Amino acid sequence: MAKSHEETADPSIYVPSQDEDMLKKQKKKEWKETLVGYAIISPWLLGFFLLILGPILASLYLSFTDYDLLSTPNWVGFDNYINILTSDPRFVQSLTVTLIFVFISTPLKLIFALGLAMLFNTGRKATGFFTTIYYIPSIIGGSVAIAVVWRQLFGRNGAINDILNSLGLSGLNWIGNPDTALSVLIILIVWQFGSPMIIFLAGLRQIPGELYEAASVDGANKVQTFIKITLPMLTPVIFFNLIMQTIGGFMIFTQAYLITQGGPMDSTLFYALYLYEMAFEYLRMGYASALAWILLVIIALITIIIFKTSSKWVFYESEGGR
Amino acid sequence: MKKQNSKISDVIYYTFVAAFGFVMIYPILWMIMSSLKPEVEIFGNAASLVPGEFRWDNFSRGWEGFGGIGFDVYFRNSIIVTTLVVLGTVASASIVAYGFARINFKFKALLFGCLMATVMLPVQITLIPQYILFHNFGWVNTFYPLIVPAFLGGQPFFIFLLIQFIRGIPRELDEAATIDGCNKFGIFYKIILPLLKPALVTVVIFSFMWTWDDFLAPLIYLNNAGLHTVTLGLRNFMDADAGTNWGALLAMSSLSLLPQFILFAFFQKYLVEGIATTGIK
Amino acid sequence: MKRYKFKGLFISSSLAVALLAGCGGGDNDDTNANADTGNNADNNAGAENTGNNDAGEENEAEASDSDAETTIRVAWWGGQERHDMTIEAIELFEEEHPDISVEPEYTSWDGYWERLSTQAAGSNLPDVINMDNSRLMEYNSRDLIVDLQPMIDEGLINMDDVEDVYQEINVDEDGKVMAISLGANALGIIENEDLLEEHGIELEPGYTYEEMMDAMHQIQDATDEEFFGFDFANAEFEMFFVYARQHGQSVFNEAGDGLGYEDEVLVDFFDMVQSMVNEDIAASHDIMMDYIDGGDSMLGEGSAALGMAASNQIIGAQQTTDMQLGLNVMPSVDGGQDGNWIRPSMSFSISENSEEQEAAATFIDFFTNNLEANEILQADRGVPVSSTVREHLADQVDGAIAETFEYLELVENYTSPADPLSPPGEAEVRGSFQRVVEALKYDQVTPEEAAEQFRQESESMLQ
Repeated sequence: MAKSHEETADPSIYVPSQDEDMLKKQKKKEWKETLVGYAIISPWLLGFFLLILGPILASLYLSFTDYDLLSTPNWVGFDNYINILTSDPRFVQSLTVTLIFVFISTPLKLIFALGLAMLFNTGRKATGFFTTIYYIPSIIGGSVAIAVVWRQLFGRNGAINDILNSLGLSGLNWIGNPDTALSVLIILIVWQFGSPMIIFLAGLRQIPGELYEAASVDGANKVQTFIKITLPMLTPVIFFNLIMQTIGGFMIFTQAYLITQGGPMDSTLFYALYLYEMAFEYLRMGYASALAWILLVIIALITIIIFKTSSKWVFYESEGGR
Repeated sequence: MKKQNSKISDVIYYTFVAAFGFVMIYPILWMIMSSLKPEVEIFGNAASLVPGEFRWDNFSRGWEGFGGIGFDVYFRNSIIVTTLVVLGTVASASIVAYGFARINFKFKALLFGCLMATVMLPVQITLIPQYILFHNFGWVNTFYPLIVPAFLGGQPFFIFLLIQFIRGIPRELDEAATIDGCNKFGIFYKIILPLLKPALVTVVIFSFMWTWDDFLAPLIYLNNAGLHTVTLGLRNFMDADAGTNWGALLAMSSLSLLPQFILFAFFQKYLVEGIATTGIK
Repeated sequence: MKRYKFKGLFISSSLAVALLAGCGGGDNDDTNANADTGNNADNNAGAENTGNNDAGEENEAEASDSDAETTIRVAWWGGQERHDMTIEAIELFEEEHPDISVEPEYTSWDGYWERLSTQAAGSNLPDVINMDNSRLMEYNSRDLIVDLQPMIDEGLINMDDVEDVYQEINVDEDGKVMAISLGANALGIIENEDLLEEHGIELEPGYTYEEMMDAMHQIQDATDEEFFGFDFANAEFEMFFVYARQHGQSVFNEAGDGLGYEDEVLVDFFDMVQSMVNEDIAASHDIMMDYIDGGDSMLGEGSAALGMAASNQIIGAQQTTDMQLGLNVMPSVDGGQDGNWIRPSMSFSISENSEEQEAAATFIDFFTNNLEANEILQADRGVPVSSTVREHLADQVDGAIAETFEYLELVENYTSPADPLSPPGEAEVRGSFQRVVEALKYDQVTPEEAAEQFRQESESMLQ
């Protein structure tokens, strides 16, 4: 279908000679499209091959060495991978903590983000103001101040305990307790739902108004409109947010680094934090590189699963809603 | 009757949004108010939002920075770096995303895989090889290592984001433009780019935020104090040994949120403009 | 060179896009719009130019500032006060040595080692590096720092006034001088003297661990206020260093490839730590961390009477409180040996890749011997190692700083020769120790299990 249009795309360049067979035409056109395609993505191609591919391959190589940053690396074969997978309890701990974190915080964050985005898309007055208010927590992001603020809220003498005490409940040191420290970080991350909220908002604004008009003419109620129009039209954005929040969840680092440093008793030892500790505190860059590649494989597997299932539930307007 | 109803729902709506909003920004309010407190009160009188006495000297002391290089320099550096990174990201990510979303070229699937892989690999790991690379370019102690990658599609997150948004734009629009005689670049400039405005605003906001907050890259590449960014300046207040200057830290942290806040408040109105208003017939 | 290539590339690619982006219809509006885009893109590239020129100008400005022939980079970690004082001292140095200009590279402790190891990987270390005892062997064993003995012999660094005791652990087994001490300190106990006086407690140097615990019990029984007792201050590992030495052993073995104590000693130590927490005469782990991360001090607010510290930390601690703090020696073991030792609080090294080693040495000499510079620096990095400087400062300083001077004289009676510096990998071993101690304090393991786990983990790290 698209072919016929491309044919007319640039008649001035494409001069067909009479005897060419269809196949050749086809080939030439593909070749041309490839060329145009490469020209268009050339900034990224250049960056990828010049600045990114080399370092990535280097880190793959380093994962098979005992590199310590300070001296030249020695080849150790699969030792790092074997050690990680067979005899590293902290690897298991960090993976467990990270998986718990991802599976709890990602859905929560997305639900909050979508819910509030819907609320701010009602066309009421002052929603812009409130959007800004709700977005502010994301601004503070990885700032060093967040550690101070969060400790003040959830610390032993923090505001949360003040409130609990006034209700007659006895508070505890939420950050210092191995049973609750992870929850405190989950709350922090979910609190910063502003980013996916903005993306949802942009997605909601992209849904053509006529669809809603048509639905209201058909007499659909709000719930029906949401299920029949909003959700399907939003699936590409939901899909994006799901992928990115999942990947981001696996890589969470700054907040834990600033607030708990993985403690107490490794109860908030996120994978990226463990990796960082190995690489830069204990100077085991080779080992850390192996950890990174294992993480890459885990994230890739989960991403591929989400991608594979996406054809079942993600609706692309441009692809005619296949 | 109907009016009455909508009034009630308005009241419920605004009460909820305001109450929940207060919970959302309480921590930030705490930070800003604490930055006005004297040092002993910050932790001694933590639960109270209102300072016992207002102290502006946290700001003046903090602004001075260290050894003659103050936050005016840090802010200037952060603004230079962040502005250029945002420009570069918007320019490169939008066109590259268009290429991935709309054009069928060879090895697209493979290259898209590479793109996604770069999103998934922890930055800490490519940090060292990349440092060595940039060091060989002679780029350490310049802004290049922070800026150039942005112009070369260095934040693949945004490329992926824009791909998703472009895929949501009906292809019939491209086809119509093709009939009108636009080539691929023409379609991008005339059709896709205007429709992408809300998504591009998102890109601006996020890339600004990430670059502004970034600590790792400035730490590694900007050793010269005259090149330090705001995040580096903030960290310099902290020291486990000698004690942290909390008042100045909180004051400068509050200030450092200001540009992001202004940017967001300014741009959020453009988020409103979607397809519905940009005239798709 | 390369940078221009990139700029050209932006311009040419944006021009190309502008040229290619034509539409067949070719109405005027379109062409204008496209030309505009092209210009904008050009401007972007131009804007980048400006940004970069800015950076360039700055460097030039700095260079022309002092007509300097040589430039050295000096790196240290610290907080605001240390940054300010060090920069002031550097300005003085540049005045006295107009031919040398100094580029300071300072940051907080957290980012410091990360940046330094990255620079090491790129062979781009600063000329003068602020070193910590725990990392010195790591950098030395990789030949990243030079031997300073030749510079001392040449007279570039004057060590005439520096007693051996301050420098001996900065010399490795081959006689290489790895670093010059920036000031001395020793482990010790910070006391809240007001609190001890209130309860009529006096701990004469030479007091034992048992007497220390009894004193904590006494206050705990007598007080109605919140009282945690002893503050380990996250320094259990350092405390065990002394404890092992008091039992005639050491944490690491001589060769630095394993542990140098018998498990019995560590089990005793762990038992003491655990029972102190359980008997409410030492702060539990979460409370301790709450204070450390919150920037508060138990000693300062009077909820702890004694706490572990390096002697110069009293300077910072005293600033946060009106209560009177003081320094005391570590507790002793009945019938045991002297376990403490005087050490560099931190040191300066010169990097192997430095091309200006002579200027770097001049700079170190300035920090070691210059009276005026040390007046500015206020013994913040430890008691000055040069006797001339020390005597000069002793008359001028008071309060907590004076306390650190006096303490070093007192503690000398409780020292034995220092162990060699910790082997490379100390940071990881310390991490393992702290995790074990955490579990111990949360009552998750017995002292025996903890000692066993630590031995297993650390031995595999050190081999």
